[in-house]
Amino acid sequence: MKSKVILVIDDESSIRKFLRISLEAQQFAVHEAASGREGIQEVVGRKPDLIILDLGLTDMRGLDVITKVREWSSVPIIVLTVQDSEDDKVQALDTGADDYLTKPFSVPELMARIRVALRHSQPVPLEAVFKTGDFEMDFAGHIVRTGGTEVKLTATEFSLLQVLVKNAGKVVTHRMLLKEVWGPNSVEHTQYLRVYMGQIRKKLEASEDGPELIATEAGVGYRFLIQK
Amino acid sequence: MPDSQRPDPDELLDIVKAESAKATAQLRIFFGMSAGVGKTYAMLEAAHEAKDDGVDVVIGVVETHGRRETAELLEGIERIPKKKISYRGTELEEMDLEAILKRRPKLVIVDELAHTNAPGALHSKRYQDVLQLLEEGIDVYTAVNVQHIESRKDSVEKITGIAIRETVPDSLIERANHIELIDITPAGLLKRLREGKVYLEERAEWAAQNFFKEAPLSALREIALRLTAEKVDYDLQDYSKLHGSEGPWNTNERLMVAVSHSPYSERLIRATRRYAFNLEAPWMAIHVDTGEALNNADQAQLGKNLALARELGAEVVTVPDIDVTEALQRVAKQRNVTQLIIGRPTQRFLRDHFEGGTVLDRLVRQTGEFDVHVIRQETAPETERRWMPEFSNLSAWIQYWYVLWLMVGVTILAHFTSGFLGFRSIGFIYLLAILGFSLVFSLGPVLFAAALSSLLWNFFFIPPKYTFAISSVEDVLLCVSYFFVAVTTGYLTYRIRKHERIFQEREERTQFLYQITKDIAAGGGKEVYLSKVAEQLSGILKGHCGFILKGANDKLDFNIISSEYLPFSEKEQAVALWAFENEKAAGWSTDNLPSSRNFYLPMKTSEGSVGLVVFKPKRIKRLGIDHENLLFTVGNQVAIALERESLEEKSKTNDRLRESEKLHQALMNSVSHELRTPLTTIIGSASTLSQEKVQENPEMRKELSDELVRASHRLNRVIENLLDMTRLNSGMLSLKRDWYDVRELLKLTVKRLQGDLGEHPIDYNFGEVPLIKIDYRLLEQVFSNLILNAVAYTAEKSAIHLVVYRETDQVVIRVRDEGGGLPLDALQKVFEKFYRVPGTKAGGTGLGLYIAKSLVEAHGGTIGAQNGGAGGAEFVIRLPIEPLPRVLGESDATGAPSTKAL
Repeated sequence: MKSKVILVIDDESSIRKFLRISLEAQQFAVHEAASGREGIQEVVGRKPDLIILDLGLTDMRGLDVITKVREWSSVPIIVLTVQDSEDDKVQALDTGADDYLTKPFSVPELMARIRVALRHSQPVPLEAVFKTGDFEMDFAGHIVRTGGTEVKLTATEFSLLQVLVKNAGKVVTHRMLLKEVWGPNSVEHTQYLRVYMGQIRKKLEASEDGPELIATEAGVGYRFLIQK
Repeated sequence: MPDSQRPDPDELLDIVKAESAKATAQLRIFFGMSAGVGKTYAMLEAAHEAKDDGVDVVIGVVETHGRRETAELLEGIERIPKKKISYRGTELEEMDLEAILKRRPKLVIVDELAHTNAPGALHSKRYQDVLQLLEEGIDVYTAVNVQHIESRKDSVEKITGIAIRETVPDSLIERANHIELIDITPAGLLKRLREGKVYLEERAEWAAQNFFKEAPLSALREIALRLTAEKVDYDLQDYSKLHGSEGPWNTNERLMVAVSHSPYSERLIRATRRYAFNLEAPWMAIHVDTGEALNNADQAQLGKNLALARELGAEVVTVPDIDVTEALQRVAKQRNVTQLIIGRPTQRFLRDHFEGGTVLDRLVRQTGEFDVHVIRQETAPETERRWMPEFSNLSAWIQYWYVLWLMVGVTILAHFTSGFLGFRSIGFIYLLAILGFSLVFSLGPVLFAAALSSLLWNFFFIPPKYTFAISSVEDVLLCVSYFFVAVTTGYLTYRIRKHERIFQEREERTQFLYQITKDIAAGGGKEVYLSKVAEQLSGILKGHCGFILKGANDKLDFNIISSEYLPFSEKEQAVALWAFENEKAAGWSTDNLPSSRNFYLPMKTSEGSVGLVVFKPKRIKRLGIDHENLLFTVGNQVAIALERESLEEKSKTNDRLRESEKLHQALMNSVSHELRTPLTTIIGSASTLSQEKVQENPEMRKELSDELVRASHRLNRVIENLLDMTRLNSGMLSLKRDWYDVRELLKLTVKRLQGDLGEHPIDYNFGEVPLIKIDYRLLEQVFSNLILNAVAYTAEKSAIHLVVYRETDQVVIRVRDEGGGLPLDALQKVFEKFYRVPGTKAGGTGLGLYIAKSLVEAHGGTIGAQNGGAGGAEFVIRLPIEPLPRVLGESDATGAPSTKAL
């Protein structure tokens, strides 16, 4: 099988180097670009399967790179940001990035994100039932089960969970969730999400020690975790 | 050097200043006895010489009066075009001062120093233009005739019989570095005149009749020569003082001249200055304010007199007192005056008798400490002058008119009572009336009423009635003594009243200044007290007051305080700027830019102007002396206050700097340790990893890389804390608050810290709490700091308890460990920056708890430390609960969400 091509756009050579080593160790083909402009050229020339993009570029804004690329390509983009720039993360995700990682990050974390992003980029036949660990969601039958027992969800709770599950492994921003479930007029009402998400969690994660199913990405959104 | 020979430091300083000024801007005056001696010609020749020496020369203004030779000399020197000023329809041309200043030559030629500028020019006199040029460091050549020198004006007027209007202060002669006397014999001048080399034809004729005769010209020549000699003498004295050589300059004399609103005072002032100059003694001018109401002309004359004295170098003092003699004696004694110069007093028969003689009589009789000089005066214009104010003072005549009619009224009233009262009692009615008048009217009308009443009483009531004859000797005695009693009563009452008024005014002023000081001291920011002071000033003065302050960039900030009555056009702004930059009063009622509507007084401190006092007059023509003094005093007070404020500000800044330096030091000490420890681990582990032996052993590799990751996380946390602290310190921390469940946040925090918790079990005890609006990341930082703190200071395997519950409108979070607890005195201090509990192990920045406290407080919450029940340390956070916005209900029947759903 032909190895997947990953383009790394970052102006720090040390980060590019360490990413190249780790990615090549995982059988990816890696191309590097040291600036936003060069990166866009590389996207055109190399046709990568995935882009890792640092939002803090010096020559142009990372967000502009995303916008440019999204004009003609739907290649998955994972952005790298620093800790306290939630606004940038959200903006990047809403502009078209697929996922994000906060620096400093660990390589296993990165690999997991890449895998999810690559999987979502491939057209797969829509399954009627989604399964991970002992969680099971039947989209057609409107049924959710954990450990074989059915969990009663309200209509809103179900549609909220459905958005998350369909994007399993990927972060979904508050905005996207609100837009999907409550409609475009409710995108500011994050308190809806807190209330409903609290209810869903309570129903799904019945025991304290059970696996975490939905992760809170502070200031950004939620992520439905895929169980190993 | 014996003391008496040591130069006075201030005097020396002045000389040094003049010396250094000599090094910068030179003033060369071409001086002549009259027009036509060839000053302009000589000046232009000198200009050419300078130009040939490579000096950058321009002509500011030169009047050739049509003389060809002079006009020819203008060739080859750059001329600054004159500025056109239109005034009442006609166009006047004046020297363009701004253009010269912009052009910045080394030397500028300015003819006719005594010229008066057209209204609307920057200064009212050309010599003021020259002074400004010099101040700006530009050399000036100028020309002036002897008749225009202030101190020689009188003599020249007497010699020629022509009134001279344009004068130049003597200080300009003193300021001059060179004086060049252009001397020509009177015969020679007259010859030139005949040859038409002086003035144009018409003017020449006129001039010849009045001015150019041999005898007066000789006299003028003598004055000019003497003045030049005096200047040379003066320079010589300066020189000997500066260089410490023996000189005739030790004097203990101090002169004082008494100045009134009489134009004659100008003479006294000039005379005193001459004496002072010859004696090399300091001198002062004193004005005694007796409370007499002055009309506008007198007021202006007084201001002019005092300004002249100031101009000529006197110290000017104004004292309020109704007794001139006493005031003069008091001040003379206080200031060790040795010689007093006064004018010949006018004879005022009645008053002088009450006061014990004229001012002069009393001075001479009662004092032995100082000499009294009386300066002669021409009687003719003076006597006329003496009555002038009275005639022009309409209100005084109205008073006489009133008194007359009131007297008639009293007489009619007395007539009705004469039926049952004896004529002697009627005398008391009159006396009562006089007493009443003296409370209301000024002295003249009161004395008039006293005299009139004795006549009326005699005529109408003392038998035989309707004659001025008196039948009995007793009644004659009565009438005469009545007259004296009435006059004395009237005079004394009037005096008391006046005294009281002066006292009251003084009291008011003191009260006002006290109030201002109080307002300033009350603080509340300068805007507050300045508007208070402006309001009070506006109340006392006839007009509106305000302040313009210096802004942040050392420029005037035109947000005027108390501005509603002070509209501010661009022109006014320019005047204000001029006053501020030149540190001189400007605008209305001054010599600088007098066409302005407002009066601007700079507020000076040791560090230059801090702003301006602005005064907008309301229906008054000139600023009175006392009002100017008041503005000046208030300006000073405010300036001092502002200066103090700015000094305080500076010292605060210094404190902050010192604090930040201390912080810096502490940061270096503690942080360098916290940064180096993980770095050492990282470098050590990484370099070990590349060793062959280690590479072969997967277990060792795993251990080392785990260590690498842990150390990196630790390093990352230190950096996070430092960044947060920087943000807190710089005030740039902004909360991104949203609705969260703190229990979820706590769990997540623990999960993130898993690698650092070691074998400490976490014990959760969560009650029901609503969502609260918090910054997720910052609060996570708080929790992780608290949990790591517990981990660091307790034994392995001891539990950490996390408790969450609701207490009315607060969510309470408790983080408790099972360690030894905190020392009592540390309970408060643990939250201080860089505080470490004494005796604890090394490590830690001392920032964690400080940051936790700051962040919790930024959320409107509180944090406290205490020793928990089991002895361990316990941190209690309380965060406020805000009402949650309504959540959209659900049509689904399985359960409606509520705000308490969690």
